[in-house]
Amino acid sequence: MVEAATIAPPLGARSTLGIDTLVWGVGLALLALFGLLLAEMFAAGLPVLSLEFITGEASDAGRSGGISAVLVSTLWVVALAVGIALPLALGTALYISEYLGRGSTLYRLIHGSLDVLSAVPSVVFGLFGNAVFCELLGLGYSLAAGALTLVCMIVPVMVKASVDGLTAVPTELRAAGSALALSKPALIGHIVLPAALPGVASGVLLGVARALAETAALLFTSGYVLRMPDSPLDSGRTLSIHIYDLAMNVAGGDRFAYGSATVLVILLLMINGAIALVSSYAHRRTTDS
Amino acid sequence: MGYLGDAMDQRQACHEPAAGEISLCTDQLCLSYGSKQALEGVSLEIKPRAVTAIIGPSGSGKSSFLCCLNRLTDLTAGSAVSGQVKVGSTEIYGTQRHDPVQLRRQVGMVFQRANPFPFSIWKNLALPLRHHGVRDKQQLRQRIESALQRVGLWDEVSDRLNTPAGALSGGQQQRLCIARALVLEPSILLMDEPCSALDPISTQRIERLILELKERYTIVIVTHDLAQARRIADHVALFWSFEGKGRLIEYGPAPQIFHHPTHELTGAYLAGHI
Amino acid sequence: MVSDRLLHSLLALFAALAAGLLLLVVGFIAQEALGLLQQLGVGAFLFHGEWQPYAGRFGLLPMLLTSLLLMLGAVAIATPLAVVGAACINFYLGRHSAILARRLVEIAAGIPSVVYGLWGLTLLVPLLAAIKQPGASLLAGMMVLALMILPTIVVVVDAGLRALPTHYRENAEALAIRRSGFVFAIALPAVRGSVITGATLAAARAIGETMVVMMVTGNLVQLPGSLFDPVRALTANIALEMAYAMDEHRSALYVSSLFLLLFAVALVLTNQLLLGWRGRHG
Repeated sequence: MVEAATIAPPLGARSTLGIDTLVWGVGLALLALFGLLLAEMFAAGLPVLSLEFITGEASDAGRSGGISAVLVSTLWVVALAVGIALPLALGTALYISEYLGRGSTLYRLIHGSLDVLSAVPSVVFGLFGNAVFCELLGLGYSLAAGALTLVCMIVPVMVKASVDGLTAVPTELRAAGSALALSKPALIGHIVLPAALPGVASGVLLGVARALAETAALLFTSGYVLRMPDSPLDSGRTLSIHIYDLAMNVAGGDRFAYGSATVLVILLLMINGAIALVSSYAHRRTTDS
Repeated sequence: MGYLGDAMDQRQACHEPAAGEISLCTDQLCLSYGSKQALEGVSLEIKPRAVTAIIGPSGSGKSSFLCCLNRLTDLTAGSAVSGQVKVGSTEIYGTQRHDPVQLRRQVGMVFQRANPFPFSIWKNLALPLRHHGVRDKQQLRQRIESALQRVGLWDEVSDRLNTPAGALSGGQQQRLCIARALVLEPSILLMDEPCSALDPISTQRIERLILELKERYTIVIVTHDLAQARRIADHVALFWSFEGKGRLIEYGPAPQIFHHPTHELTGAYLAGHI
Repeated sequence: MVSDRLLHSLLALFAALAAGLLLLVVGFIAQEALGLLQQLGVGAFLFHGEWQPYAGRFGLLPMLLTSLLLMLGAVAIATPLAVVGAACINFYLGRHSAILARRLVEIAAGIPSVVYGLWGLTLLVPLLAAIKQPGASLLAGMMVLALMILPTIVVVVDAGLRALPTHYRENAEALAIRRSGFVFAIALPAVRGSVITGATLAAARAIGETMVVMMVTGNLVQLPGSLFDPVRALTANIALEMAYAMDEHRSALYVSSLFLLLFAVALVLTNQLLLGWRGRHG
């Protein structure tokens, strides 16, 4: 009791209740807003989902039927884009992490140019793709032209994730490999790449997610024909373009727009989950030993 | 005995090797990382088939010195070496492009922290062998078994060669790393504080192993532990840091260094005054 | 066995290709744009208000201003909210709810812009229309863009806050500084760099965004008189007219994309310069 009296009274006992309430209010309101938006989308979209919606053919400009052609076009574009971007991105990442010093001018040049590239607006990539792949290379409006355009957009994020994975490989492993007289290619192939695999895998998944989400760059490269493509040289419409077209250009297309958006977001959530799995696996593996 | 390179005539530091021995010596070796100099003018001749312990306070360049002996300095960007390191008759930092891969087959290394690859025990040992051309399954098996036996690990792991090396205990992992360095049959073995992360019992095992290995290998070991140097070393080199630059201040047979040091710093350091 | 030299050259080739993509993009856009740009001069695009492609008048001023206003409005709305949101996640929510909240924000950051556009078009525009017709307007664009870039800023600021040394908090507690005092006087000032980075990245995204602005701003080419006016942004203009543009008209679209490109690149470079400067002096 005696001690209690000697404790100094609070200096200018201002209440912080107001500030605390503000932070709580803003934080919870934001979280609730995003939660509600997602809930709204699922509420409108989930009832649309059915086997027929996934596998059926679209009719009446997409107001009825299914989205099989859209899914096949999306698969083509994403698979081609990631397939082409992977060797390019992995090669670049290996060069950066295994052959260039962090401080070198060349390192900063490559890094800076990829940084700037990732800031270029997607509609600009669309114009670039239209001029180069559709016209100059003569691919016309086609899934291949769309995929090549996407390659330019996803290379920076794939390089970044792969470089992160590669530089996280412990230096002890590299030193052990070198001390055992492994040549550099063998060191990379047998030790560094296997250890960096989780980083590379999440880079690939990030690339897939970027490619799935892209709309503007595809409007005038892969086009928006709502028909089952026979080959990657055909024009075709991806999921995100389908959503746009239904929402903007088709009266009464909202219901199916939400259905398609639900499919797209579920796909992205699955990729998100896969990335989380991969990185927790990598984390476990490095903390085990 | 000419332990320290004669100051008047540095050329004398590296003698011609005796027949059948791979000798190891350095002459006026300097190492710098960027603008920071880590080693200055180190000249010494390592005695073959013996244990040479490198001792000295932290930051005196002991580990840096070890990394110069198999060109592991190459891994650090901005490192520069001057002076000579001679392994056998080869000058490894010489002007003619010397292949570090060939060098590292002759000069094995064991690190402070056990660093097995994240593979099985078998693959840890098979990878370097395969890489250097041993394809025959029979021969692989034989060399892996003999390396594991040499480090006393065979009886402990022979029934689980396919389990991850990371599952072994710390001491076992370190012995696996020694075995991995031995499968390539080097003639020189560099050890960078191999026991500093281990418990006393594992340390004892490894020290016994080092004493056995010196019958066949030239061993250079960096150690913080003076008692350990007393137990295993035949020769001792003391490094000291002068304004951040590591220098060799005394080198000689272990009994001489421990009982009759000539440099005053050595005496003070060994007595624990510094 | 691949030799070191061969692998080195191969990887260097890949890296050159990847780094060269930027030059390729800038080069091709410039090539398509330069003819018309030289013919008419930069002023004809920047300082004129009439966009009549068939009459050869390519004044971009209304759309340029619209794009800038949309970006500024979105960043101004989103940044403070995002910063407070990140503080709430880090210092107010419990451990488990913070993990859940971060998950939600990450998911929101990954949702395609076309879905934000869909939300804006079907949920927000009717709401605004009830206040003042037509609903699709500058304000709708700002709000939906703000919503879209908000999660990105939260992620960047949150990463900054999480990287703060824990002893800051301990010291503040020991000095009897309350939580709110710690957050606003110590933690948030300490992550100024993250806030700048988050806001700049968000600004670059906002000015380059096409789908959202095309879906919710009404796409009428005019100087915005009020927040409730329908307007058209540069990006939307490209996407709307590219399908049928020919000759000079097409070149004019490439000119406008050249402006966009330069602007977004300038934003990112400014950010890096700021960070570099802060790194040396801050």
